[in-house]
Amino acid sequence: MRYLYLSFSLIFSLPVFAGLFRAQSETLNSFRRNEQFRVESPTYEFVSTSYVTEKRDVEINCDFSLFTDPTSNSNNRASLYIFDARFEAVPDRLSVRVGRSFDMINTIGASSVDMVSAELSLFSRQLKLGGFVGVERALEAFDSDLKSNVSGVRADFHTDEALPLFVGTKFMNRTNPSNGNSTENLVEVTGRKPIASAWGPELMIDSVSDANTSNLNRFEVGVDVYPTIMTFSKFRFMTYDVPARSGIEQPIFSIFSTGRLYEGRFQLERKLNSSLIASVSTFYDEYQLLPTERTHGTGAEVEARFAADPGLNFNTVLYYFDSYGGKVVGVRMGGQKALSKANEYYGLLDVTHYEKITSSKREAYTCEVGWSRILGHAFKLTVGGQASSNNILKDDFRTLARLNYLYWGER
Amino acid sequence: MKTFIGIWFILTAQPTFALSQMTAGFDHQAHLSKVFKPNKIDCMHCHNFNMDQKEKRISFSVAATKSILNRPVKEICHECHRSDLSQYKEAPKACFTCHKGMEDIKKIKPVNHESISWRNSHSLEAKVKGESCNDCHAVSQCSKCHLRRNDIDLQNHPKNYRFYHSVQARAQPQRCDACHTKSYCADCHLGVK
Repeated sequence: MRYLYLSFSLIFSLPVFAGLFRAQSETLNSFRRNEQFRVESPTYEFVSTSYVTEKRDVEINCDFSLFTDPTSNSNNRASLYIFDARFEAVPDRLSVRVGRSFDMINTIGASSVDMVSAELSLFSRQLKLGGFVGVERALEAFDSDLKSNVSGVRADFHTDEALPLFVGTKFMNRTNPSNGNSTENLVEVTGRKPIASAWGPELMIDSVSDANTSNLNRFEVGVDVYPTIMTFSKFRFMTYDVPARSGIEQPIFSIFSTGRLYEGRFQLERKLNSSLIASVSTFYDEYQLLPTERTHGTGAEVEARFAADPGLNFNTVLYYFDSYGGKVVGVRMGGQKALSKANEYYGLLDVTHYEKITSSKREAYTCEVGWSRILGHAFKLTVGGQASSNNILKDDFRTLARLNYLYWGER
Repeated sequence: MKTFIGIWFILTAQPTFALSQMTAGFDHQAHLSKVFKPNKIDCMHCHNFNMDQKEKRISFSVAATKSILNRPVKEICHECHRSDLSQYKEAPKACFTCHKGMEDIKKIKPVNHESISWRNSHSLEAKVKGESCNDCHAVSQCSKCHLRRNDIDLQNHPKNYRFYHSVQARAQPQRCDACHTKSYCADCHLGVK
């Protein structure tokens, strides 16, 4: 083992491996009462490391977590989210990735996949062809044996201009061995094009279809416009219909909707000055609640974000939602203030008023204050306390402690 | 001996946490020996000089009164270090090659990251230009929001979300599918947890 460590140290000190090694650790602990009024103290440890060379021809990533709670009967857990390596099999041409990855570029949907993937770059990386094969872990049952076999191909192209056109297409097959080898074939097409004209519009389109059933799972089209350098607006239209299917996991959408959903979204954001950004956003959804009935939902958010030197941040959000499930209105405020280079304090407040069809009118309050201190060069300790009141726990007090460690090593 | 090497390996790296004083580095001598001389790139490629090739004498051009460089610094550096052309494939492409340290990397954060909507709209950027995210972010940073689960420091939902999520789920039932499936609801609503 010592010779392995010595070899590792010597090899990776060579100039050809010049690069960046980052390691982060986050330890979280809370002391609180649960809904059965029993004391619990969950503790999480999140560790992530990454190494990438200056030429970006070698990359190694690792991310895992540990959980324990000595005060309760909860089982200890360890979860490995990412453990992969990427290298240039043919420099500037063919790249290969192996291991457990979170790969939004190759896969359709965000999940952790044990995979082997390859990417071929042509025409100065304007055209990229990729493929992968792997095993996808079930999203919510991460540590269980529920897995799907996945494979796919993709092709991306972008033009070589100041405002490039991007077109990408992916095909992914998902087979569920635990469900009679049922298969799903998904096709995704994505496009984006900024246009050089007044208001600088950027057009986007993204669609996912099920090739087996010819169902259009999701189709989204939109435009971002920039009337001034300080202002932008976003318009989106989306249709969505992912029915219950014979797979391992069922979409939540299928609980509430029996048919197609249509959504329109709008956002207006303006940078009022160098310290203050304000945004207003709203949406309207309509979908098939029952075979003979459609329903709708709507909501709005107004947000303001203030940041000033030295070390003062403040954020306020007013929110409103309305659906057949009820109405919600609330405000969230949070801020951080640096006392010195190594000390800062923070506070947040969340007050919500909701009227649900299943219960009477209620309020929920959450208030949290805390203090952070940088220890040495690499550690940051945060301690805080949270007080809440809601219909489950009228007086809920809990502590929060977080210890962050960051190692940034360049060679 | 191994202890010494191990300590040397760690000490020659540069641990930082929000307190570094790094600058965007440029090693002229290294570029001169590795890039300019082998490829016969003369001074005027970057500088506002007039060079007499025969007499090997440099004189300043009129433009040099305003800037010693004939283009913005960023444009000169990125011509090689951010190019996909095969003639520049030997040039290191990682941003941290020149922008040393976390604080310097933060200074070159794209403007769109400051947008309030960035958190909800970065998925399209990830699909279109996912590799550029790795200029600054490690892939493991994606897992912080997308894969990790903890009920102490909620990353994606506000503290009171538990009490009104049923209203929003009925307003936008498709939004939950981005991260959750039916089995997640069953954990609480069917008493599995």
